[in-house]
Parts: sequence; structure tokens; C-alpha cells
Amino acid sequence: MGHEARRGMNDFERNQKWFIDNFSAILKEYREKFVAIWNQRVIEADADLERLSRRVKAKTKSAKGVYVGYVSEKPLEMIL
Amino acid sequence: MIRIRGFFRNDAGYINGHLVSKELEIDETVEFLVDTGASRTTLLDKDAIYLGINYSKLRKSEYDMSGIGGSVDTYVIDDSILLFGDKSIEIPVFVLRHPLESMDKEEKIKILRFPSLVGRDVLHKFKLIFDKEGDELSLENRE
Repeated sequence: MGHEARRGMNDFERNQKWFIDNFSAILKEYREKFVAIWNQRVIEADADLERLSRRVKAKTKSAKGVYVGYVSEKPLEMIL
Repeated sequence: MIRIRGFFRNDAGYINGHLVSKELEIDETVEFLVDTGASRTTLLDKDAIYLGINYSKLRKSEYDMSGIGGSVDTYVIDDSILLFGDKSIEIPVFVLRHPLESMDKEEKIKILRFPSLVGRDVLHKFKLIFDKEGDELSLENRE
């Protein structure tokens, strides 16, 4: 894996971990919304994923490593 | 031996992979659900939307793929490279496109919550350790 890809993945994993570790606090503020995590903080939240994506890319200048998650206390049941 | 670590969220196992496609100008990390029931590694709608997948640049799959709630439009990224740790895998990645515009809000959210899937086409290249009780999920490179 190249240096840039490795750095992007490391950033993604830090943001992903921050989302998981801080989920309870995030839930209080952003229930039933998509959130974008960058530099271990919420930089955008929206119920509309496409709108959120556009805003995040404008704000971060399409930076790598942004983690996008959905905030809900309802468990995701998957039978795939 | 290379070991790529994943993690459990609730009872589901996930692993991060890095997806590269020159044609689509994609070079991003994706969170994949480990799904031994899926024959193909597949991007679902949430990641396709966030990555800004341009479907017009993709080949439509000749296979009928079953999505959530039935058959869905399926595309293929032919030039994709997946990176798991230092292992690079050149394999076509499938992209499902559910008809979100015709769904009600609740159904649309349900689809958009589903993660992308790492399927048997990738998993068979590794030894998969899936031990929820021992909190260990990893892919071991056989080479």
C-alpha cells in the first residue's frame, strides 16, 4: 500500500474509532442523521446523505479518510 | 505472515479495505461487512453515494444480483484494486444501485444503512478468523 493510501486509511480508522467510542454522545445530538467525522469530530450532519456528501467534500476539499456513519439506536438487522 | 485486523460491532464483523479505481478516480477506504454468504465483494448505496460513483462510467453486470427487497441494478468496477494491509487484490468490485428515488423515507434509510460487503471472492484469498467470543476478527495472508 502506498504512502498516501496508508495515510488515508489511518485517518479513516481514527475517525471510525472515534465514531464508535463516542456513539452515545453523538446519538444525543444527531439522532437519525448521517454524520461525517474528520479529525475526530463531527464536521457535518444531515438526514440526506447526498447533501451531506456534497457539503463534506466542499468543506474538506475532498480530503481522504472521512468516516460517514448513520446515528440511530435502532439496531441494524441484516439477513443477507 | 500478514494479519489484517477487523472488528465486531454488535455481532457483525467488519474489516476496512482501501478501494482504488483510476477510471472512477477513487482512492478511498471503505468499511466492509464480512459476509461469507456474498459471492462478490460489493459496494452498497451508502458508499457508492459518498464516493460519488459515476454509474455511466461502469459496465452493467450481466448477472442478476439480488439486493435488499429483490433484484437491483448492478454495475461492475472492472479496474478496481482492493488493498487489505499490504495485500493488493485486483478483482472486479460490484456496485448495487437500489431505486432509492421510488422508496419511502423509512425504506430508503434502511437501504442506506447497509454496509458494503466483502465476499467470498476476496475472503478465499485469506484465512478468516471470526471469533466473536474471543473478540478476534482477522484475515491472514497465506503467502
